[in-house]
Formats: sequence, structure tokens, C-alpha cells
Amino acid sequence: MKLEYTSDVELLRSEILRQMDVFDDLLCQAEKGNWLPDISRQNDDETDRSLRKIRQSIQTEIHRVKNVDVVLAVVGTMKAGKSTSINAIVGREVLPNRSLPMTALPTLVRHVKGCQTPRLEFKKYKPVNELAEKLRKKISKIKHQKDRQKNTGAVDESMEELIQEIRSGNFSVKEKYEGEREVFQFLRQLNDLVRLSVYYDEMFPFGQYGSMPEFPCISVEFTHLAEQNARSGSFTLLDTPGPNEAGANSELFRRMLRTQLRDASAVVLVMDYTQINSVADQDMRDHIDVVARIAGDRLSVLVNKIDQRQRNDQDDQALKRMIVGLFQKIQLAEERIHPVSSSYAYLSARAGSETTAIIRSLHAASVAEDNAWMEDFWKEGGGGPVFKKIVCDDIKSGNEVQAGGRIKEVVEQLWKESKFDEVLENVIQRAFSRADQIVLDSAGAKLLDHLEWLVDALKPRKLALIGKGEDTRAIIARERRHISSVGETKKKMRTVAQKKMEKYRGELNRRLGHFQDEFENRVLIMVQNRKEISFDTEEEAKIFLEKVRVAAKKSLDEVEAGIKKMSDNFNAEMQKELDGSIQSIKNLNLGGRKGMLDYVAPPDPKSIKIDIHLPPEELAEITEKRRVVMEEQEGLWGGVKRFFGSILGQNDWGLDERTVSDGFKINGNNMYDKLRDYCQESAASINRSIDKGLDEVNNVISDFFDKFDKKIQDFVIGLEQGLRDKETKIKSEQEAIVSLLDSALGSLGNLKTDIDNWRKAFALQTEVASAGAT
Amino acid sequence: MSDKSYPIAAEATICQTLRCLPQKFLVDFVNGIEVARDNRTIQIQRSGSIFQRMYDGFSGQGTRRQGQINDSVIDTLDSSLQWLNDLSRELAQSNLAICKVNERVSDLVQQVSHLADVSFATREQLQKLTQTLCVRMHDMERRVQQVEMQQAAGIHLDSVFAKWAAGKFSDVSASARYYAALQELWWGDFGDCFRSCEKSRSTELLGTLMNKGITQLAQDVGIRPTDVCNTREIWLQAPPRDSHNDDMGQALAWLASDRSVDVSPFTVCVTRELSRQWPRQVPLLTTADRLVRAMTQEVFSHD
Repeated sequence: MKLEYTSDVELLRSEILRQMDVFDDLLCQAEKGNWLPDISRQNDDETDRSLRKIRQSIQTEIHRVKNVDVVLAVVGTMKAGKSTSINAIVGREVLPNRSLPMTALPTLVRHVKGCQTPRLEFKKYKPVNELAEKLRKKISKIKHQKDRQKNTGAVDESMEELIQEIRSGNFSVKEKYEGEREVFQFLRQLNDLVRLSVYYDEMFPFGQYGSMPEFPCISVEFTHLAEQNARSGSFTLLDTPGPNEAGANSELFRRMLRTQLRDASAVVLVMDYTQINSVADQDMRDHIDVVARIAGDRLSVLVNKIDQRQRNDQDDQALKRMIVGLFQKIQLAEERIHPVSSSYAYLSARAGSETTAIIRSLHAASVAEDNAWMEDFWKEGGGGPVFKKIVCDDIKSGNEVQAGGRIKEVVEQLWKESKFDEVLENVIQRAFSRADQIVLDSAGAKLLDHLEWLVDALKPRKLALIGKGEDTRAIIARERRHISSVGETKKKMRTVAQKKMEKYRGELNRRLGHFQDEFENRVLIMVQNRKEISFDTEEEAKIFLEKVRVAAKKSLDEVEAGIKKMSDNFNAEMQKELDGSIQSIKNLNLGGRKGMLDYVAPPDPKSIKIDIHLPPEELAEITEKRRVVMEEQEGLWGGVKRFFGSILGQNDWGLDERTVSDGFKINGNNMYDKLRDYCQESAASINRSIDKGLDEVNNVISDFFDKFDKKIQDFVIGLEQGLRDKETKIKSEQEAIVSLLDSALGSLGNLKTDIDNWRKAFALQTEVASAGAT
Repeated sequence: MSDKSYPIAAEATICQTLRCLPQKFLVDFVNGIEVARDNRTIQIQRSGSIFQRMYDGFSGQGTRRQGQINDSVIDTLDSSLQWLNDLSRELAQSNLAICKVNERVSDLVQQVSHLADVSFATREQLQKLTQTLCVRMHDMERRVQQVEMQQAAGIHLDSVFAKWAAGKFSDVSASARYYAALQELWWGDFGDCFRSCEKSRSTELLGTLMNKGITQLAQDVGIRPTDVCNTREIWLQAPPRDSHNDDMGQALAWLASDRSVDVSPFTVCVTRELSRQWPRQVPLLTTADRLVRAMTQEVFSHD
């Protein structure tokens, strides 16, 4: 294969559009020219594929291929500069850049060409208002600010503002916000609201925001994409809260993150360069693993803040190698790692597009609060106050052009140093190509499916027209027998499957029972009947917890290995049975055409996969034991008190109470409950995944036989139509139909070859893309 | 380097490489002769084209003043017919050309028979032509009956592909090379045999032709026959302009000039500059196999 010639997604897109266009034209002709048997055309129930439905489906695919929606999910490790990176990609400040973790809703930022004023749309705003109302009730019960602070801790100004608004009943979220300031304000408030809901123990309704259309969405023109030719479809960034921003809702957040990352065309993980050396930190490692596992080959990494790199620090290559080492779950190619400075990129983009504003601010000789970025620009732009003075002098002497030129030079320099060109080129391009891949794959598969259906619908009519009437009638009778024969095979196969499943299920229950016994003997016994487990040091307590965790994991590993082996055997046996059934159907020699079976995808029952949960990370809380000791008060006065105390029977006189550490403890009962729940949940989860797998096996079998049954019925319908043509039409009309069908089948044959070739090229392109990914 | 206005004579390299050119010229020429004297239309339409250059070359009048030649030849039907007689003897090597010339001459005889003011000389020329063609047609029928024609077809096929393998078509794109081969075969012994033999034999002939075409095309491009390539950038990519003679490109365009995009999309794609819309029936990604099948079908189902 010539890789270089076919690795062009645009070419694949144009070609599949061409093919769909040609096919649509053929469908149109088929509709007008009555190519299909009458029954096929009239029958329009759910299972039938009428020409009209196929045309609709093709039109939908054409639209999807032409308008590919690309979503680039951005996730960040703690304080890595995710918002700044998003602002840098957008080229303006659309997201609040706060040092607080943004445990808010995921937010979409969509590139809309020509949209200079950012506008935010939040269609599902009502649940947030309902939360605000609940908070209002709680807040109003607390009268004094001092008391409130007991709940919220020290609050910043914006939080205080929000509390006031909620308290006074003035707070409400709208569906739309217009302009930078309003958008900014809304996002900040939403963020504060999430934090506030945690303080007041009122659950933020995250569960109601499951899919992208429900997230707040900001529309704005991305400065860097403004000059690019408008391509149909949309390009959207998804600001995704990471799992370590989740706090108490960690499980919920992980679930949300999984959904968001799964639906994204590509994923960018922003890491903090200055924190790279603390990656041994378990939190960070867990975070990276979660993201890497879900994103897989769609992942790119931005190592942000390289502007803070010291002279003796490692170079880009060494840095990339180190990052590769951090990813244990996937093999990340070095090309996918981009050391960048998001703040430089953001400042450069902003100063580049607002040079006039900078000059104006110098005229005014002051920087408004909103324009704090300008101060950063002077600071980071090389030269700081000195440079600013030079530009000021230019302006004072009336030479604004020269001042603009100097600013432009710095803008360019900052951009270069930010290394963001590479990000825009590679990461965004990759997001586009991944989105293309998904859409193209679906279009190719649908087109082939529809085309094969049409070919199958046309062929029997022609067969009947060119064959002898009595032969056709004999074939029809034989095919009807085949239909019942296929039905019997299906019944037999289902019986066999049912028996095998019962056997499998019996074995599974035995194994799960064994697992629970083993778990009890090996793990639960370690904490059973131990209300409090004591340790001298915290280290010892940690070692104990790890020991329990390892034992739990080992138990689970064993059951997993056993079930996997059993499932593999089951899968192999089912495959063997199905192969036998397929062979028996093949031997029927349906319609005299052995190739008929090729059009029905053979069933693949390898769908039983067991879902295993790892033991909980926190098995128990280690608490310090405190003991109160009586200590003699120092000095003469202490001695005097003790003396009189002994006379008057007051033994605590002259003594002080002091709390001292008395080792560490773990609540054994809680731990026992947690482990027992885990064991039961594991068994239940395995059971659930097996149920799901067995259901799928059943569906696959039914689906296969149903499709096959439908194929033979369509074949018979076609033959019957041909027979009717033969009996009711004059010779020349019959010849005209045959010639029409011949020409149609010829065109469809050519199109089929083109689709096959396209699929070959597409597979190759995908291979090249994933080779690039690893 | 070619000069676009330079006459092309029978012994010119392009006519040696594409032996179908004189055959096609002859057919176009006879179709251009009109009793009603409006034959100028055809000739004017082809002015500056390969046809005009061949016209000048074959008439040996390329060196004389162009205006005079055109006037002297086109203006009189007599002189046209006389020249046609000579050309038929000298150039008509394929049965296809002879049949087509014969068909047209029969039409002319019919037309002339209804006219009162046609000169005796014209009638005599037509008579002479009919006789010559009749002899050639008989000869052809005799050949068809014999194994000789089948052998000739085989030899023709081998010689065309040997010419291709020797790089004689290398001035044009890979797919255009196959088109050149198809035209050579269509106008020569191979085409004659194809048109006259039974369906099973003709299918076999086309099968052999396509296999050879696929092999040679894949070899030219340096891929396997089933490899999928970018149609525009690989199959239609002509060698760089400054290193090739454009006669071949022009000649192929002329050979395909009567083809329409609806009926022969691959031919149009291969032989013309596609500045406008891409023919919808032609895939943007394709294999040597698909290309060869489509082009062969377009040329050999050509009546």
C-alpha cells in the first residue's frame, strides 16, 4: 500500500461524499423507475428499509460528513493553568483564571466565525436556580456573618457578594449572557455556587448535567482560527473539571469525566511544569492514569509554564522523555507532548488583537482593573518597565506607529516563546482528524450496507425475468422451505445457547461463592471482631491497610482469572456452535447463490467481558489516639496546692490535664463493613456484566438469524416480482426491465468496488493515524 | 519540444507511436465532407488542432501558404474525394476505418444521386472510391473467416504493450498511457477481431487486455494492482511539462474529442484538463484494476 497517497482525510471525505451522491442518484432513479419489487416499496414498517428511508439516511450521513463537529476536551492537573491554556487557544480571556479549583460544570467554548462579542447560552439553567433557593433558605437561618463564616471559612469578595445576592433573593441564573463581563461574572458565580453548596452540604445537581448540550456554552471567534477558511461543522473546546477538582464528589466526577472524554474528538491534558517533580504524588498519578485510560490514543499533553524554566533545567527532549515515563496506562508518543507557556500565548494573542487598547491605556497613563493583563504583558514581554517607558516615549513624541511596531515585535516574540504554534497545528488538527474518522467510518459502513441491500433487492427480479417461469417457481418453493429451515436452526441454536449459558451460569455462581468464602477467610478475617485496631505509629497503620488492600486485590485477581478462563471457553464453544449453524445454512445453497451469506455479518459472540472494580483506595481512616495524663504543676505554688489537696481529699489540686498521643487506631468494624460491601458489590458487578454479556450473545444470535430470514424473504419477493413481470408484460417491456436492471446492477457493482477501495484506504489512514499516536 | 502548428505527416513519430491516428484522421476527414459545401464548418472547428496539423502534414501542403491550400482542397468536392481515394489506399489499415469510410461514402452516393448539378467527375470519383472500398471490405470479410485475424489480434496486443513497456507513451499520465493503448487496439487488428468474433471470444480478448493493462499500469506507478491511490495525483499525474512532448496529450484529447462526460467519464478525465468539475462517476481514490475495467468498458462498448 502506498501510505503517503491515501493518508489524506480530505480526500477520503470528498470521495465518500461523491459515492453517497452517486448512490443517492441511483436511489432516486430506483424510486422513479420502479426498480424494486412492489411489495418492498409499499412495505414501510419499522424493520423494512424503503427507498425513502434509505435516502433519508444517506442525506443525514452527507450532512454529518460535511458538518463534522469537533470537540477538544481540556483537562488539567491541579493549578496547571487549564483556563489560561483555553484562553490561549481562544486568543482571549473567556474563562476566569482563578487559583481556586474550578469545581464547576463543564463548559463549552465554541468557535463561531465573526462572533466578536462572547455570548453564553445555558439552556438547562433551572436546576441551578432551584439549588440557589435551597441555599437561600439555609443561609437565611444563619443571622450573623461570623456564624456564617463557621460554615464557609474565610470567604473571598466574590463569594461574599454571591452570598448576599442569594440571601436577598436577587440571585438567579439566566439562559443567556452577552459580552465578556457578563459571561465572566456568570462563570465565576457558578463556580462560587458549587463551592458554597459544599459548605452548606447541599448537593450541586451535577447529575442533571450528563451530556454536552446541557452544559453552558460560550460562542466566540477564536482569534487563531479567524483567518482560516471556514470549514463546515463546529470546533468546540470542552473545559472539563478533573477528578482531583472533585473533592467529595469524586466518584460522580469520575463518571462525568468518563462520559465527557469518551464523547470528545480529542483530549488535552494540561500539566504544570513546575510540579512535574512532584509527580510521585499519588493524587497526580491517579489523575493522569484516569485521563490516559479514557482518552487513549486521542490524548495530547501540554506541559505548561515552561516560561518558569530555569537555565539548568532539562531541555524539551529530556522533559518529553520524562513525561512519557509518567504514562503507565498508555504508550504516549513524544510528538504528543508539547512544552508550552499558555500565559505567553494568551498575552501575545490578546496584545496582538488589542494593540490599540494598549496604546490608549498609555495615553491615559493608567491601567484599569480590567486591563491587568496589560501589566502582565509589560512584565513578561521582555524588558518590563524599561520597555514600557520606551513605548511611552514613542507615544509622547507622537510616534504611535513606531510604538505599535515595538509592541508587535514583542507580541511575535512572546508567541514564539509560548510554542503554541505547534499546539494549534498538531493538537487541533488531530482533533479534527479524529472527529472525521468517526464520521467517515459510520458513513462508509452505512453506504455499504444500503448498497448491498439494493443489490440484493434487484438481483432476484432479474433472475426471474431471464430464467424460465417453472424454474423460478421451483426456486421460490425451495426458498420457502429454506425459510422454515433457517427458523429451525435458529430455534436449535437458541436451545443450545440456553443450555450452555445455564451451565456457564452455574459454574459462575460456584466461583463467585468460592470468591466470597475466600475473601472472608483471607481478608475479612484480618479485621473481623476488632472494634479498634491499634498501632504504635501511623506508618504501621498504613502498612496494615496496604496489606489488607493487597489481600483483597489478590482475591479479586484470582476470581477474575478464573472467570476469564471460563468465559473464554464459553465464547469458544458458542463460536463453534454458531460456525456449525452457519455451515448448515451455507449448505442450503440459498437461491443457488452461495455468496448470499457474505452479506450478513457473521455473529461475533465474544461480547462477555467482566467488569472488575478495584478495592477502594481509602479502606479506613487512621486516627490518632489521645490520652489525658495528669501532670504536676511546676513551682512552689503547685507543690502547695498538691499538699492541701491531699489533706482535703482533692487529688487533682496542683495537677494539670494534658492530652498526649497514645498511638494510632483504625475502626475495625467500619473497615469490616466497607470490605464486606466491596466483596458483595464485586460479586454483584461481575454478575451484572455477565448478565449483560449473555444478553448480548442472545441478541447477536437472534439478530443474525432475523437478518438472514429477512434476506431470504426479500429474495423471494424479488423473484415473485420478476415472475409477475414475465407473466403480465410483453417481451419488449421485459427486455427493457432487464436492460434497466443490468445497467443499475453495473453501476452498483462499480460503486461497490469504489466503496471497498475507499474502506481499504480508510483503514490504512486509521492505521497510520494510530501508528502516529503511539 | 513540439510546435503546436507544426504539420504532422504520416511518418511523424507521433503517428508511428499512435498508429490509430491516421485511421481516426481518415474517418474524421470523410465525415467532414459535405455535399452541401458546408464542410468548412468541420475544418474550421478543428483548426489548430491535431487534425489540422495532420491535414497539413498528410496533404504535404504544410509548407505552402495555408489559405490557398484550404481553399483549393475544401472548396471542391471533387478534390476532396480524390484525396480521400488516395488516403484510403495509403492510410486505411484497419477494418474499422474502412467500414466507417465505406458507410460515409455510401451516404454520399445516396445524397449525390438526388442532386442534378453534381459534376461527372464527382460521380466518377465516388464510383472509384466505392469500388476500392468494396475490394477492401471483401478482403476483410475473408480475413475474418480465417484464424489469421485472431493471430493478428494477439500480435497486435503484444506489440502495443511492448511499445508501452518500452516507454513510447511515457509523455502522458499513467492512465492516459492505457487510453493510448486502448485506442491503438480499438483501431487496429485487435479491435477488428474483437468486433467480429463471438461474445465468448471477445470477452476473453478483453480479459487478456485488461490483465496486461493492470500489470503495466501498476508497474508504471510502482504499486501492486490492488493498491488504492489518489486518482488525481497518481493516475492522472502527467510528467513535468518541460520534459515532454505535448503531441501525445493533444493526440489523445483529439481521439477522445467526441466522448461526453456522461457516457465516458473516465475517458474525459484521462484525456482532458480538468479545470472544471470533476466527473461524478470517477472515484477520487482508486486501483489500477478499477481504472482499467472502467476505461476498457468505455472504449470497447463504443460503437
